[in-house]
Amino acid sequence: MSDLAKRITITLVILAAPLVFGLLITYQVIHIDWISFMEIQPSFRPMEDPLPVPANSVPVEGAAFLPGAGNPLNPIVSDQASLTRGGSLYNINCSLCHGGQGKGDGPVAEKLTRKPPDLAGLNVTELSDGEIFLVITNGVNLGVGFSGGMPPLRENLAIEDRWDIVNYLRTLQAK
Amino acid sequence: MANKIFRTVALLAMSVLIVSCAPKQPVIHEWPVYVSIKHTRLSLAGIKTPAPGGCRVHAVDLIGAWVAANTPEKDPFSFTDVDGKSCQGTFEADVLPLFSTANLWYSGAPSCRTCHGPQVEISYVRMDLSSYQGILAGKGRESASSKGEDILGGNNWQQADLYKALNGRQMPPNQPGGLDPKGPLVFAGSPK
Repeated sequence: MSDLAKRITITLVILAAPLVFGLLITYQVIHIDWISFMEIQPSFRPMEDPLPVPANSVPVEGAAFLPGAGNPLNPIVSDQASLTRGGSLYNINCSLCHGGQGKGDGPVAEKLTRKPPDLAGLNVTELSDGEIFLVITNGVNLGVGFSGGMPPLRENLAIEDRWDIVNYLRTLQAK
Repeated sequence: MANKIFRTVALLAMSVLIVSCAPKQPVIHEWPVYVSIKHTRLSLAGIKTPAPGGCRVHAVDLIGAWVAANTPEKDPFSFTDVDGKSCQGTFEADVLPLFSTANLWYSGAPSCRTCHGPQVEISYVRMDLSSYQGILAGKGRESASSKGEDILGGNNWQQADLYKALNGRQMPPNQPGGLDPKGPLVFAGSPK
């Protein structure tokens, strides 16, 4: 074997070495236990509570309220656009239990052990916008799971949507 | 000479191969925080700034001081703040807001009157925590005009049902862990 042929062979072997190494890893001859499967990544299954958000993260919409700073103030003006949005969102998300007029007589209400309150009653009219907003956000959960309480709707409704519903609720109360 | 060129080219080819095979660093997208701040609809208009030299006290201690003093709604009662300052406040201005303010006892907490409203017939444990008269009337009431079981322990705060529920961290419900059983630190009253 000539000197040149020997060199070419050695060079080819050196060049091929990373490729061979890559193939060994690809076909798991050399097994490195890195996370590459979807089922073992952080995720939640159907009907599981969503994972808590990472500490100090800020929602895309911005914070809904300042933690511990008291009743949030309503930042959405109660104009026709807000009331229209609020009305349609109310009919989708609230009326099943609370009824179309907020009297607590929705089709689901009769199945509930604890009846939804009349939204035009004193217990709700006395509340500030911020208190109602937080009820929509966090629900009223005094039982095991959500039995007998109202589920939180923060996953269903954007911050602005919740304020629109609060604005619409005030018009129901005024009727 | 040819040998040197060959060696250099081989070395370069190897370097290119190794660099291209090296695992790539994941691209980290910086979260556009400015978007959140720009689009936030948070209203800061109602955030109160404490008066300089004002009194700071834990909510449970403040209610306890009022219960022990047993003063009417608008009359002043004395309490000692966390710095040992002697202060005074009134039920109406300093204690009632603790029952009617949401997002106070912990982040996102409901206010007491959310569940314990003035319509006692449909309120939880038939109790009204939305007013002075309601708090004095107690729990388990038949109607808005009737009195129920005392929740203030006959003005002995340590024996009061209200104290046990608050200090035992049963109320407000669904509290996260690690909260002070004395409740949040609030600004209340004024120094004597």
